[in-house]
Amino acid sequence: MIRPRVLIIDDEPMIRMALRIMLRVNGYDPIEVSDAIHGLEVCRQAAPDAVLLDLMMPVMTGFDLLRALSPEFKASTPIVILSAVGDAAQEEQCYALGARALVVKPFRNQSVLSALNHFLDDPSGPLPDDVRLPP
Amino acid sequence: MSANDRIRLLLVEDDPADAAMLEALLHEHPAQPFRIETVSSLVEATAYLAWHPVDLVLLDLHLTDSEGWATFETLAVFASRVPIVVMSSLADEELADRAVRYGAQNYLIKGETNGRLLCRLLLHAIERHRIQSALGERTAALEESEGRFRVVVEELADGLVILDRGGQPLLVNRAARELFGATEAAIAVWLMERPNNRPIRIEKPKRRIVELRSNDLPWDGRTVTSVLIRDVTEQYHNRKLRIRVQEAQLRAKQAEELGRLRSEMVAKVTHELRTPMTPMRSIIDLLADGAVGPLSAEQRELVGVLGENVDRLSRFATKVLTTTRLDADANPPDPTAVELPEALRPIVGLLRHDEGTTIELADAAPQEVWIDLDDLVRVITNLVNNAIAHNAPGVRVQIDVRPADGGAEIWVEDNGQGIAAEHRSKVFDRFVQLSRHEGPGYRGTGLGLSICKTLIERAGGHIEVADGTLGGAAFRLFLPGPPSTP
Repeated sequence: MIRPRVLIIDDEPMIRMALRIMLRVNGYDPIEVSDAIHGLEVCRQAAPDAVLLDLMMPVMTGFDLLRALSPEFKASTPIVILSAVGDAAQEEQCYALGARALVVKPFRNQSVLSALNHFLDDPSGPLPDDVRLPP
Repeated sequence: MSANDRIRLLLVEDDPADAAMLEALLHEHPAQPFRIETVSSLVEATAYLAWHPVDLVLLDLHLTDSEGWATFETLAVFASRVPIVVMSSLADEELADRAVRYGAQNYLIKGETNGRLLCRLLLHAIERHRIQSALGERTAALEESEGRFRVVVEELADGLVILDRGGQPLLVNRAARELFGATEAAIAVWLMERPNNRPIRIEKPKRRIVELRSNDLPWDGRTVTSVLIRDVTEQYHNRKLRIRVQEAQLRAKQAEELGRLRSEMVAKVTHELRTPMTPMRSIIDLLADGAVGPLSAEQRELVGVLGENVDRLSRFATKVLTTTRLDADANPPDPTAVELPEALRPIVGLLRHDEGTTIELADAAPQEVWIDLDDLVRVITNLVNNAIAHNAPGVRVQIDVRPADGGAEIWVEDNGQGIAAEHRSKVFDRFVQLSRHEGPGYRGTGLGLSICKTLIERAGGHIEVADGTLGGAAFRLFLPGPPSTP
């Protein structure tokens, strides 16, 4: 069985570490970068199956990355936002820029896993309340 | 004395002997001041006067074609600006005396005079006439000037009252009488001890606000007080309204700035709280699920306590974020009767905009609405700023007031790119930014229109997107009238 490749883009090393372990023990192939500039490069070259994206990062934000990614990439690759702010205006903007879901930090591991499962394997799979989808 | 300087004397005498004698007497004067023209009838005299300048008429009252008083009366009409000296016989001195009372300069009794006396009498007659004429002209000019002055004072737009030292009115003009609708004495009493240059309210007959300016001035040799009463009702209300609008705009700006700072602050604090909790929560899940190795029952319980505490902190962060999020206004509204479109004038006047962008307030019949003026200022400011921010420079914004059942409507329209039909139902939702154009308004909070809706609704009105006539966006606001109006 091929492990789906999930790209983690977050500037917090401890968050990346927790996500990495969580994804690995749950059957995913995590790759990680600490900033959006590298994130953009990896998106173009490593063809991840899904992206977990933080918003508030120095230099290039998650919003900037969403704008930089091609519509084709965003159509084929689900991008799940992991945000510590998560207000409605921000959420709205993420969807407008092509994100598929938003999970507010701190998240339960099960929420992130459910979101990935929903987009990669089973669109009918149940989603916890804290996984937000576009209206 | 040259011929031109000499006095042109018209001698009206039908008796040639008398005429010759008079001429001889007149020639006795060493300076020869007279140039004499003699005519022998009234008809000739009037004809001569009609065509020639004459300085003096020496008139015999008894002529072949006219007799006595009629002679004087007739000639006086033809020589109205010329001094007349009449001649009579001793028998009708009374008649001559009467002529003097009616305007003749003097009279002489034939045969009772000599050359020197006659010349002096005639020269004095001319001099007296000259002085009388000058006086008459000046009196007429004075009367005319006083008449004009009275009209000016009477028709002055401001009230004018002149009081003597005892406070008795010497003059009260029409504006003052109408303003007070009272007797002059009552007006004088009211005016006593009132301060200068300060708004004073009058309740009857109409509610007006006046300002007084009093001055001492000389009047017939004494000092009196003039009080100028200016009706400043309109300016006063306009000035007060302008100040209120300015204050409201300032408050709105401060509230917005404070709100922005607060939400930025809250977002930052929440982010800082949530970020370290994120790996904690995730690692606790990993441990609790046994994903990184089995836990003993005790270990599982301890990890559970950790998880509960992280959740508690997380809930707290969420609560802080949601409860401190901008709410339209924490202050309760203070509605008053607001007159439209008058109240909108200073709001529109104070809005800043680019050259080329026009904000027009259409002329409209006055309508009263019931709303907190601060709220109205925020709403109109917001709508107009939206119209400017979402459109290219040079946009035209028009504000119109229309009567409506139970209140009034305010229309705010522009000729910009408008609002797409599919967005109409969403524009008043919170956090919705319909970026019609990446103009200066792009970076809003998305709260503007939702605040407008909240403010209008708490005044008992409603706001909606309408179909305007300018081709751009149009908002229709309904506001109820004051509670007292049916």
